[in-house]
Amino acid sequence: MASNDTELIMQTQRGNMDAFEQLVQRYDKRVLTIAAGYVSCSDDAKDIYQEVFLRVYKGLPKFQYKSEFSTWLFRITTNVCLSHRMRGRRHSHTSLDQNVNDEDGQSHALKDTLSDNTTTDQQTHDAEISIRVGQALKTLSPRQRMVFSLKHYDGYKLKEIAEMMKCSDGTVKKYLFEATARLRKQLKDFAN
Amino acid sequence: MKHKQFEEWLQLSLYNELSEQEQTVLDNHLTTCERCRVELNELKEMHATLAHHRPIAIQESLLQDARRNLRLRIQTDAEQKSLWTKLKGILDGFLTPPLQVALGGVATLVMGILVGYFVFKTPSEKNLPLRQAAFASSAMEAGESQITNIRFIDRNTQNGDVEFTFETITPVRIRGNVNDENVQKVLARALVSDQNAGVRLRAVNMIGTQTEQKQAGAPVLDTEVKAALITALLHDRNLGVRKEALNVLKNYLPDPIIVRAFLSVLANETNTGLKITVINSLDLSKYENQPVNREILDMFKNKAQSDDNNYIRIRAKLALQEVQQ
Repeated sequence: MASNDTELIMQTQRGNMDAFEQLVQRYDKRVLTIAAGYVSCSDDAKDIYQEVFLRVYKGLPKFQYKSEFSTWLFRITTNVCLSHRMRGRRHSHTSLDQNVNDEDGQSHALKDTLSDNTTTDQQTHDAEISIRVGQALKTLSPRQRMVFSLKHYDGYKLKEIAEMMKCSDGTVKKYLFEATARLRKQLKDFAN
Repeated sequence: MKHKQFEEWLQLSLYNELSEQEQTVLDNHLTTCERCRVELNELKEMHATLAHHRPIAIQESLLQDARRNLRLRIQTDAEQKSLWTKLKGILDGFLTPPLQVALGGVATLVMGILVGYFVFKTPSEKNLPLRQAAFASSAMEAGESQITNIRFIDRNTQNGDVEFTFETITPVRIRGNVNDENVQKVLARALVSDQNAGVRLRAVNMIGTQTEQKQAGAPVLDTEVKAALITALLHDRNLGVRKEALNVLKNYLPDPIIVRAFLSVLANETNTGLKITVINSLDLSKYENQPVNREILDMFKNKAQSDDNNYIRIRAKLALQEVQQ
């Protein structure tokens, strides 16, 4: 029978690792998705994932149910994202392993699109746009990027983002507007 | 209502963040405001451009990999923590609180004198006193965790005796047996902290000497040394160091922590040779009744289906067939 979060937390606090694993598996895909949206690199996303759940593991013995577990978890996630230092050495240039998306939303490594003899101008153009968008996102401040990623790619409501980032709705909107303005400026050339 | 407010609403409208009433007000405004209609079109175009870029897709293999790494990290941390807890428990048993305060004061005073002494006096390397291995451990436990400038002087492969120097607060010269726990710990610290790949390689080689003597009744792999070897295997930038760490660790299978580290190598390592060594060293029949069995089978299935290397795919498939018979 599936236990609720509170039961799993209490069991984890008594040293039950299986309960902790259940708790992790209940939320970890969302954590990894948030991390991946923020850093756009699977290795960095895995680093964030590990740091988040290590903090949760260390913090659970003192967890006092002052907020929902999920609220606490996602707050940790955004904090870890914001303080994360990218593994810059592997991403100082555009990687051929970088994923780009086709018009159906399917993800492909850039090298696959380029090595294919059937590559069309449109595919090359799409790949170029994808890279430019990725570069533009990197110019945002960490908080602007976090808010933009949570809103635009992960689809969270502004209120949820405010709760995750422990700030007001107004502040979240401010970051979103700033991010949008900067992205518009940078991607002006690509607008149809 | 100011025009800037409508411009903000246009963005919120695209994200469905306006209330019904706000949306109606905006829609009415759009019928009369050319500037806002242009703005809305531009925003829509930007959204279309952004749609070309999506964050990496979270595939099951990525999630499983992240879970495995987390499990491994927690296990490794827990083993190291339990050793520290035991030591602390012993000390707490001996020392009553007033005595702890008094000893703390004395320790601070001694540290102050030592720091002053070493800051103003740098000993000549030629005249370094020869220390026993236990000194290395005490030097580290005095608070210095960074081992630097490690230099190897001698190594006897017959009996495992090694001699080397390293710096903590002051340069130290050590002579001891490679099976000595203290020697192992110094080598382990060098393995994870030295900047020089050659030094890290020699450190892992020397740790490996213990493995060679394992058959002769040498002690089991110390937790700290194991953690250092796993760190080197998974994260060292130098392929040679990773390879040597793998060669040492495979002698300690079927330790589940090492097994999980090996699975991480299969999942993340870019060097095919290392992956082949891992796949050849994991004998599936040995893990049938162990908790890691499921993880190993999943990884082998994954490798059998999708590894870039033909040999690894075949080897994984054969291993699975053998275990199913």
